[in-house]
Order: sequence, then C-alpha cells, then structure tokens
Amino acid sequence: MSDSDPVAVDNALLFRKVFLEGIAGSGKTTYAAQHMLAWLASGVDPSRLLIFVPQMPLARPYQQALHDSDYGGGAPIITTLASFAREAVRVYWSELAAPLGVGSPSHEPIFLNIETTQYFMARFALPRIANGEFALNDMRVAPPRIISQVIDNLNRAALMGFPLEEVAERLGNAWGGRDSSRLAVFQRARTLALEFRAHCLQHNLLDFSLTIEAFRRFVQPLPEFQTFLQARFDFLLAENIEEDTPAAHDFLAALLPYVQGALLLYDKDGGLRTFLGADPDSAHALRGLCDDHLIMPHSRVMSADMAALSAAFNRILSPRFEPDLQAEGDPSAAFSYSANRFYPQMIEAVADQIAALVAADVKPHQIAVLSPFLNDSLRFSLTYALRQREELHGIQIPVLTHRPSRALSDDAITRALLTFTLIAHPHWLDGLTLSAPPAKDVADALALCISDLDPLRARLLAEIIYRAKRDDQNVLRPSLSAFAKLEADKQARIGYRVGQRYDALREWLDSYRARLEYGENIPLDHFLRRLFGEKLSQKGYALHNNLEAGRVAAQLIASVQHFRQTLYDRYEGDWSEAGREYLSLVSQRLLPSLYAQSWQDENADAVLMMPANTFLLRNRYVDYQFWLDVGSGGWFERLEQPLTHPYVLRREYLPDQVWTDDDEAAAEEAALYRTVIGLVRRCRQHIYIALADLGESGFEQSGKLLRALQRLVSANAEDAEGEASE
Amino acid sequence: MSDNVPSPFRPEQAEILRYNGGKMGIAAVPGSGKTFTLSHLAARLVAHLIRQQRVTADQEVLVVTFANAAVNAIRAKIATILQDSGVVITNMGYRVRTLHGLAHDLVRERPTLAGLAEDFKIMDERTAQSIREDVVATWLRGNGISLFTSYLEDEWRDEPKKLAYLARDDLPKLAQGIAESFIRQAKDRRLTPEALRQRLEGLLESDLPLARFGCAIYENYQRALSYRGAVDFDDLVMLALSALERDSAFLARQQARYPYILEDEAQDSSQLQERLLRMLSNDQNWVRVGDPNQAINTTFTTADPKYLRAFLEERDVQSQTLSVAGRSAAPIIDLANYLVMWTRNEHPNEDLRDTFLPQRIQLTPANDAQGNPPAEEARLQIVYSTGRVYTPDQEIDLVAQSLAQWLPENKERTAAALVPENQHGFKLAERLKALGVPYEELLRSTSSTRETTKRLEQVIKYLAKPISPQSPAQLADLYRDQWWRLHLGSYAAEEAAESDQWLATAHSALAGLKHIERFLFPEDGVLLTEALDLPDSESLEPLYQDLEAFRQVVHRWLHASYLPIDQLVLTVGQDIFSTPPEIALGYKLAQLLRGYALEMPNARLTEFAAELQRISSNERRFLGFEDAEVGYTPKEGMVTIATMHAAKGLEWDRVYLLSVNDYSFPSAQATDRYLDEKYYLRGALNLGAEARAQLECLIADREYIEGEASVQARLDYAAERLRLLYVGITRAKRELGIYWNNGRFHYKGKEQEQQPSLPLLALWSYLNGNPER
Repeated sequence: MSDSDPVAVDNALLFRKVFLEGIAGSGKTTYAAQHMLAWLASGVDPSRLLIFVPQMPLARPYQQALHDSDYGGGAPIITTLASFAREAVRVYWSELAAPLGVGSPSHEPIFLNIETTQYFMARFALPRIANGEFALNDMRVAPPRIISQVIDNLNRAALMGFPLEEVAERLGNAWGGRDSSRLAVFQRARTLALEFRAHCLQHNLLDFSLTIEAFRRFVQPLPEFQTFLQARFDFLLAENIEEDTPAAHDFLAALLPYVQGALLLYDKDGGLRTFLGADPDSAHALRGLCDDHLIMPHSRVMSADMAALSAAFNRILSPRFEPDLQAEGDPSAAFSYSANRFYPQMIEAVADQIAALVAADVKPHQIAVLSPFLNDSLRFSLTYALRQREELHGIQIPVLTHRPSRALSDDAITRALLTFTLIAHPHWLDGLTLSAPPAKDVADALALCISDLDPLRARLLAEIIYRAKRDDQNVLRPSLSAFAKLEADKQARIGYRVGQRYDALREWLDSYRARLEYGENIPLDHFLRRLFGEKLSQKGYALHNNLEAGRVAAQLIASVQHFRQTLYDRYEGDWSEAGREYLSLVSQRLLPSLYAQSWQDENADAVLMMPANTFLLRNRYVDYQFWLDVGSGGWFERLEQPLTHPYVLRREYLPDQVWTDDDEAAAEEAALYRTVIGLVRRCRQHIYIALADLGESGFEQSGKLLRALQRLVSANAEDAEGEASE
Repeated sequence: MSDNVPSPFRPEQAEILRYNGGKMGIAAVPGSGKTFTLSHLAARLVAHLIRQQRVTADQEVLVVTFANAAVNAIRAKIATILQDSGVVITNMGYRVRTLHGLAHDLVRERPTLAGLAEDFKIMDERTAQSIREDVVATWLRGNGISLFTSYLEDEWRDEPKKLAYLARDDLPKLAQGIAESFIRQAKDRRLTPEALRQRLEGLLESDLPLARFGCAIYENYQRALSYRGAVDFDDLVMLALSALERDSAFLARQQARYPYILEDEAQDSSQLQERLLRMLSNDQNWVRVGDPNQAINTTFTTADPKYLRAFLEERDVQSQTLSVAGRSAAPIIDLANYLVMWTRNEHPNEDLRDTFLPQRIQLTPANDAQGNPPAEEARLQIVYSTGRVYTPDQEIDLVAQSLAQWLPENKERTAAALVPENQHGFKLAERLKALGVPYEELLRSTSSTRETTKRLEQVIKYLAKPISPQSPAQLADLYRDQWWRLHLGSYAAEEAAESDQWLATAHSALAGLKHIERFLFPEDGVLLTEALDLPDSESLEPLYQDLEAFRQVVHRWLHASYLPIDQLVLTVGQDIFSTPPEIALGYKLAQLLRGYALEMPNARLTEFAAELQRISSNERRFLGFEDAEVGYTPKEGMVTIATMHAAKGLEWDRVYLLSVNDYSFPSAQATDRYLDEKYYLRGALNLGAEARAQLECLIADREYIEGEASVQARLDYAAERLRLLYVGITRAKRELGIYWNNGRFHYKGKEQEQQPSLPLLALWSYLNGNPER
C-alpha cells in the first residue's frame, strides 16, 4: 500500500509496519508522536514500545508529546544503538566474554568513552609516532589527529560490519596505484588499531567499536538474546533512520519481523551524519521489510516563499532536480542578502538585524545564527555586539552556542577551574609537566568566577594576593593571601564586596588544602564538584545562573570522573596520581572536551549560534536564520583525514574502487545540497545571508555557496526582467 | 577574441595583447612595462571568459608572480582595467597568486592527496629554523664536530684553543647553513630523505660525508615537521605537484579551471615551479614574461634563469620581446646596455661572459605616452678616482651629505639609496636620521608589515599588563596611535587646529589617570568626564563620545583576552585593521602566534607581545606566501633605503648604488673573497655548495670531486651580482650615482682592503672615455 501526505493518525496503521518518507519539515515527527500516543491510547504497554533514535536529543519531541498529553502511564523505552548494545553486552557478558577473547572473563567489562579511548590509544600511538612510523614523506599529521583517525577506523569497521583488518585494504584500494608510501601508512595504522584492540581485550576495556562488535558478533546470534528480542518489544518507532548506521539498520531489520506495529521515519535528503558513519542507503533498504510506504512530500514549516526558495536551490544545486517541488511563492522574498566589505561590518549588520527582530517581539529561540565554523573570535564578537544592543535598546537577547569538540585548555571556564585546581593542589606540581599558573591565569580565573570583578581589578588583585614561591625541591608552589593584607587604598580600589567574595573563595581553598594535609583523600572530580557546587555556582560568583558556564563545568567534572572510574577502577590508594595524570593530559592537549552532552537548555529562549551542521543534526526549526560567511569553503568541504575515509569505509562502497577527484567533487556538491536544502527546510520565515567580501583572513571569498547564491540572485533578476518585458 | 587593441600600447605591447592561445615567452627589458602589459592581457582574457560565460563555470585566468608585494598591485590593476571596460563584478574570473600561494591553494583543496590532515599548519620561517637548529645541535652532540674539522685549515684544526673557539659558535652555524641549503636543494629535486638514504646505503661509509650529514638532518627535520602536522614553504610546491601527479582527475579539474596561465617574473622560477605551471597549463595556454638579465635570486633559492631561457627557445613557443623602455633617461639606459656589452665581450673571466642575454634596452619613440625622461636632465656619477679610497663610513657620509643637499631642492622628486646588504643600510639610516633627512627603509621586511605588526603589538602589550604604573601612558598612546587615527582623528582633520587640541586633551587626560580602572570600569554613577577630570563642556562632546567608544573597545579587548591568542588577535584585528593587506597580515600573525603558543604552552600575553616586537623591530624576518604585503610606492621628498634585491620592480628619480666593491660584486678573480668561503676552511671551500654538489652526484651517480662546486659557486655568485648591478642601475629614472668602499676586513690574519669592483671600473672608463656625458 502507498499513500501520500497523511495528516491524522490512521488507526488501521497502528498494527502495520510503516515506512514513512518525507522531507524535513513535512511533519513526520509530529505525525509519529501522534502515532505513539495512539499506540499508548489503544492500550499498548509502554515498556514494550521501543523508540529508537540515532542520538538521544532526537527523542525529545516524543518526551515532550508524552509530557503534553493526558497519558498517565509509564514511558516507552528510548534508546540508541550504542546504549542498547552496551546494556546487552553488560547483560550477556558471561556468555560472550570468553568467545570475545577478553583477558579476565570473570571480571566485569569497563566501558570507555571517547576521552578514555583516546587516552589508551595515545599510549600505543605516541611511542610509534615518536619513532617516526607515521612521519613518512607524504604523511604529515599531528599525533592527536592520528589517534582520532585510527579510532574512527575502528568504529567504522564495527558499524559497517567488516573486519578490522579490512580497513587498510579498503583504504589502500581506494588510494589506487598512486605513487606514494601511503599503503605502508595504512598498514601501520592497522597494526596500531590491532595493538589497541588486543590491549582492550586483555584488560576488559570496551571502547565503542568493541562494544558494537561484541554486540553484533556475540550477543545478536545468541539464541537466548534472539528469544529475548523477539519477545521483548511489540512496537517500534525509529526516528531519522537515515542518520543512523548500518549496524543500527541491521538491528532494526532483526527486530522488525517480530513487532506488531512499526513506524520508521526517513528523510531522503538527510544523511548529515555520513561523516559519522550514517548510511541513508542501508536505511532505505528497510523499506522492503515494511507493509506500507507513506510519503509526506510537502513542508508544513516553510512559508510559500521559503518553499519557492527551496525549489530554486533544488534547481541550482541538486543532482536530481525535482520539478514537482516547484512552489507558488517568490523565492526572493524568502531571503535577503547583505554584502559587507569587511568581517566586523558583517558582524555588526547581523547584530543589528537580530536586535531589530527581537525588538519586534520575535522570540530569541526562533533565531538561529549559522556559519560553517564557529570560532571563539566570531562567537565572542557577535555575542559582544548583541550585549551592546541589549543595553542600547533595553532588550534581552540571550544567546546559546554549541561548538564541536576542542581542546579543554582552550576554554576559559575550564582553564579557570584548572587554575584553582593547581592552587588547591600545590604538591601536585613538579615544575615540568605541571607548573604553578602565571598571575595572568589567576587573574582570569578570579575575573571569570567572582561576580562584579572586572578584568582590571582582577589583575590588580591577583598581582598582590597571588604568589608562587620556590621550595626546597626548586619547584614553584602557588598560594593566595588574604584580602585584608592589601593596603587600604588597594582594598578600596578593588572594592570590599568583591574582596569578601574573594576571601570566601580563598578560605574555601585553604580549608580544602588543610584537609588534604590532614590526610583526606579526595578525587579530582569530587574537588571540582564541590568547588563548583559549594562556591562558584553560589550567589556572588559568576557561574551562578550561567547556563553555559554550568554546562562547561559539568562536562569537565564528568570527564574527570569517567577518567578516574575507568583508569582507576577498584583503586583504593591516593587520588593525587589520577588527578595529576589528568591535568598533564590536558596540558598536552590530548583531551578534547566532549560534544555538548546536556540538551536540557534546548528550551531556553535564546538565540542559537552554532555551526550549520550542528544545527542540522539537532533537527531544530526556527522562524529566522542567519547564514554567515557564505563565501567560505566550509559549507561543502569535508574534513580531510588521510588515515580514514567516510565514503570509502561505507558498506556499499565497492572494495576495489579507486576514490577519484570526481568522486570528491560529487561528494562536495552533495554535501552542499544537503546542507543548504536542510537549512532552508528548517526555516519558516526568512533567511538573512551575510557576506564579508574579505573573509576573516582578509581574502576575497568565492566558495561554491556564494556562487550558487549569485546564480540565484541573477536568475531572479532575469525572471524579473522577463516579467517586466512581458 | 577581437584583434582590436586600443592605442595606448607600444607596438610590441600591442602584439602581445593579440595573444589568443598557445605558449608565449616574452623577454622584457627593465622599465618596458611588462607588468602593465601582463595585467592588460589578463583583463582581456577575463573579459573573453566572461563573454563566453565561462566564469560562472568556475574558470579563471591564473596570474602567477614571484613577490608577495606584486600580487595586490596586479590584482588591483586588473580590476581597474575591467572596471574601465564596463565589467560590473570585477573580482571574479581571475586569480593572482605567488607560486607558493598557488601551491597552497592546491594542497588546501585536497590535503589528503598530499598526506595532510585538513588542519595542516604551515611552519613559519622562524619555527622552521629553530627546528633545524635543534636537529643540528642534536646531531652535533651525537656525532661530534669531526666531519667539519676535516675541512679546517691546519692552524685551526691543530690548535685546541682555536678549535674550541670555532666549535662554540662558527661550526654550528656553518652546519646549520649547510643543512638549510641541502634540504632546500633536496626538496627542489623532489627527493625524500628515504630515497636519499637508500642511495647512500649503496656507497662506502666514507663517501659523500656532507650528503650523509644533510640527509640525517633532513630526515629528522621532516620528522619534526610531521610530528607537528606541518609543512614548510619549500614543501608546498613539492606537495602540490605530488597531488596533481597522483590524481589525474584532480589535475584535469585544475587544468579546466585555469584555461590561461600568465606568469610574471618568470626568470625567478625554479625547476619545480616551472614543472608545476607546465602541468597546470597542460603545456598549452601559458604566457611567461621575464627578464633573464634581472635574475637575482639564484644563489639563495633554487631559481635559475636558464629555465626561462630554455623556454624561450622551445619550438612551439611564440617568442616576443618588450625591448622599449621609457623609465630611464637615455644616458642611464646607455650605461646599462654598456654593462651587458662589456660583460659579454670584455669580462676578464670568460666563464662570466654568458651572464646576460644579448638584449639592448631601446629608447621610446618620440610620441610615446611614457617616453624617456629628457637626456639633458640626466646626471651620472661614478665616485671613483685613481688612488682615492673611501672607507664605509666615508662612503655613507658622502651619500648622506649629497642627499641632505639635494632633497630640499627636489621635494617633488623621489630618491633611493640601494645597498647590497642590510647592515650598511642600517648605518646609512642612522646617518640620515642624524642629518634630519626623511627616509623610509625596506630592509628585512617592508615597513608596512612592521607598522601593522607594531600596532597589534601595542594592543597586546597593553593587555598583557593592563593595570601597571605605566598603563595610563600606554592607554593614552593606544588612543592616539590606534583609535584616534581611525575615528575622530580621521574626520576631524579638516579642523586641524581644534583636532590637535582635542587629541592633546584626551591624551593627557588618559596619561594622567591615577587609577586606570576609574576610567575603564568606573563605579556606578561616575561620569566619563569625572573619571578623566575633564570639564563638562558641550563643545567637547564629540571628543567625549569618541572616548566613550574607545572605552568600549578596550573593554571588548580585555574580555577577549580570555580567548586563545589567535582568537584574541583576530578579535583585536577587527578593530584596528581596515585594509585588506592589514587584515590578511593580522590573520597571518594570529596563525604565527598560535603556532608559537603550541610550541610554548606557558607563553602568555607578555611573551606574545615580545614575539610581535621581534617582528616589528626588524629582529626577525617575517615572510609568508600570502599577499599580505602592500606594494611599496616611493614617496616624493623622501629617501628610500633598500637592498638592491628589494628595489626590483621599483623606480626613483635619483638612485645611489653603494658598496660596489669587489666583495659585494666580485668578478671571479683570484683576489676576490666570498661570504660563503669561511676563513677557517681549507682551500677556499664553500661547504654549502660542496654539500649540494654531493647531493647532485648522489642523484646522478657520478663522481664527486672536491672543490669543483666551490669554484662554480663563485662564478654563479659573480654572475648574479652582475645582474644585481644591472638591476640597480635600471632603477634610476634621471640621476644615478655609483659608490664604493674599501670595507676593510681581516682575512687569515692579514688586513685586507676591498677594491672597486671590475664592472665599476669598466663603467667609469666608459663614461670617462666619452667626455660628452
């Protein structure tokens, strides 16, 4: 059966398996939420309903729908493949540990997160890199990149379901007969991956790849698991399957025959997570296991003009132009284009426009500012420009930013917390890997953490109260002195209220140090949690009510905690070593911070500022979008990584096919199309396109998106001329 | 394309502008308007692409040039020509790049083809050098200095004290220099350390010791780059070539993108660079303009004019000339032509007679729009008389005095003093300063680069210590030097007197702040005028608003100082840089400091400011491949001090050439001394040249004979110096003075004096044999 554009839930479909295909904004999720509620209303046991998502935040609309409905029963099971696999591996550990080949089958598995995975990989990679194994003439990749690419290969092999050994072969075949020593490097990467894998097996460490592999190879075939799975769920709802991996699709394929009803949602222009292993093709193959195929071709989000713009982009950018997407509206009314000569002018123009929208009662969360990259400078400058407009117009323009991972030490709040950590643990310092922080860091930490303390007074304060004195081991040990020790005029300049806050913080740190001296043994994450909870998040301190800073602190604490629990599992000794080790990894920039883990702030009424791709992955819809830096190549170029390859390491990629420049160009075109069309379909009213002729680097900008826009503008101009002459 | 070539062109230029495809080689004499012609040709080809709607299909005319400074000038010229011919969007359809910039574009487009991650770094010269120093030092620690002692004169080798003296400083420096030139040559030959190692393994342990040393350093240097995920400038061209060779589809796409390639300064191409352009052009639509007689980068780069000369001889190349030059007055042109003729016919060293192509600079016809300055106004002077000797100080004094006298009477004219090397230029600058003669110097880096860097340094320096006793004065200077200039000062200029008064008021109020935070972060209710102790005056309102805006921007900077250094620089740059070259330079400095921060994790703003200061104060050469530099334009009433190298492409009404002695301009005579032949080495060996020769022998599998390369290096150097003199002479439009000094020095324990160079003597005789001059 095939239908088009369903609006209301059809109860007849509740007990069928439905493949629902539609463009972003066509109402698939809204429809699916109603479908879920209809299941529950019909008496389906929520604990037997599985909601399967590529990433947890995508389950939010269902949680929200449940919350907003009258339904009072329990919650359905929501999971991703990763968490389901981890749980299954844990449950069936006794059966699979021996065949998996772990060193201590009788011991529990230890699951690694990305940071601890990197930590262990670094242990094997760094000596090899230092030994020059990856320093061939045609390979110049910095150690953290080598580490992350080898991990990528492990993950891809597991998700695609081919043996780890095959990765080097596939990469080598795709490289073809080109003259280079690259093949040798692929082999070395393979050796490194195998070494890491062997270590993990020996110590019961399960990184993401091994978890997936254990699940696929040893849990899924178990008769008892099969029995369990067949009986466990009656209904299945899978969201955004095109953003999920072949391993997830295999799981769904295994589950589908045994459920009474299913709804699989598929966006044919998706595939935004291809670089993370998503495979829209294998997702689409699930259609064959369904009873019905429904299509929702029309957007319920875009205005008529926006739909026309989407059609116009489809015409210009799509490899498969779809004339039926033609819409009635006027594409040129859906966007405006502001060309500025210089980058700062672009930022000011965007800030003005955002302020004008907010002043006209547009909710901040209906505005998204998107650019291919969001570096600190852009984020800072735009946020700062908005702050100025808040003051000027007496309005509130809160901002929420999300950025992909970066070195922990590059984040100011993290650096502040780590500066206090060093002051609180002077005995950790050795003057080599860990040194006393410079006064500037202490000033920054104080200014960032104490309310109403400006950077100047913070500096003045730090220069007087902070001292690092050399001890008998010739190591500088930091300490803070009391505000009261300042000369009276300095106290007055800095301000007594600020002084009290400083003193309270210092006393807290002093008493912590005293407890350590009395032998108390406190892990680093506990210290940070207490510092944050007992002091910095309290009134009078700048992290109080600061969502973003709170999130950063929480992330740091979680990172330290996981590090300790993984590496120091069952450890009962002095925690200093673990803390010191963590800090030295940070100082070597070997620990990137994680992607934003917390999504609770999703509902905050704030302007979203993020890279375009992050926005798309979050599947948000807004009234207004701002596209910055449209001349940049970042709108279509993928991150190039010589040791791995997101397209070659896909299941349907022919193992002996050479990856050519034409393939690369086609992939770029496809990426640009996906991004642009994805953004347009997630915008209701208007897109403000901002360009600086001279990018941040001072060069003229001329990327593919800019050229597409120029064609769009000139096509509109020609149409207008044509109409006028008629 | 239409054959209608408009009239402001000379016949030779018009002929070139009729180009409509194929390979063309143009030998151009100095001052013949080659860049002008090339820009017009580029514009015509762009217009052609536009007409054929090929620009929207991403096709571009590619213009490649040698120097950073030329990029912006050519780009601006093409845009102007396009605009004048009615093209609306003038920044599309062409790309102007240095060769390294082009290579960077190519590598950046497909980094994996070159074995790089997407975020690969380009190592600046400073870091690359410090890596090499480390690698060499480690090698010396492990292997000792015996390799080098075997090349020492007996007296240095056998006396422990003398040897210890050399081992401290000279030998490590020598080793460093050898390594640098060896690595550059190996890269130009596209040889990897592994390939070299393999070849060396087939030889006896004692064979080619310098090549062994070079290979070991090269290997570890590349490893260090690799560890940082970085490439150096020399790698870029090599990697771009590899990428093109490795993927034929990538090459085909690039070839389709650039249907026409125009190359300026083609005499400065190396073998590798030529190969890159040959591939990109598919050996088809490729126009090369250059003057082999002005090839002056041959001894310290791998450039060689022989490639252009050979190209001009290729069978399918349309050979053209630009022989008419309107820059200089006839007597100056005559002198330059004489230098060519003398060298070809009479140079005492016959091996140097092929230094110049036999091309004469022709005078313009009578009605030429850019005709030669009148011959009767020309003045030529070669300061030489038999038996008269000038010390370096005397020479400088002569030139300085002459300028001090001439400049006030010729305020509408331009003048330059050109030196062979920096140090002499610095001394002249000091002297001119003492005499109150206005000057600009282009030594080491351009003054605009330094000026821009200095402005950034000023901000970072303040941010490093924002609340010290010096801070109010620094803040006041920041206001005056950065903010005022760009804001109130720029539009208040009409009311000059009032404007000066305002600036003085603001500066002294800021400098006089007792507590700087009272101005920057005042307590609630404190007005700006109170904080600065200024009167509440309505007439000063514009100034107060300007100060308020300044306060805001300093706030912004202080808050931005929590960001990583590169991000801070970008943020500050938004406020203080306003021209494209400034912004590009700011970006480059941000990258440089980011690299510095990764190398020195404990560096904070004070250290970053110090690093900027090293660049702005000219202690460190700062050069990239981007078009960050502004082309220099000589100013009237101002003396330019530059090296003769840096003067290329420029012109002045009056030019002084200094130090034209037999040390700076040797003629490969037995008595000549050479910079690269160290006094402590036996047999006048040039070890850098010997190491490169060992490399060549290794590649060609031929026998190495010690000393041959040193002799050849003398010839190469002498030839380049002849061309340098030719470049110097042809910078002058109306007046030319040539000077020399005896630059006394000690060689092998004896005091030696330099002599006037042979070409100086030849030119002097020529002038004096022709009394009418």
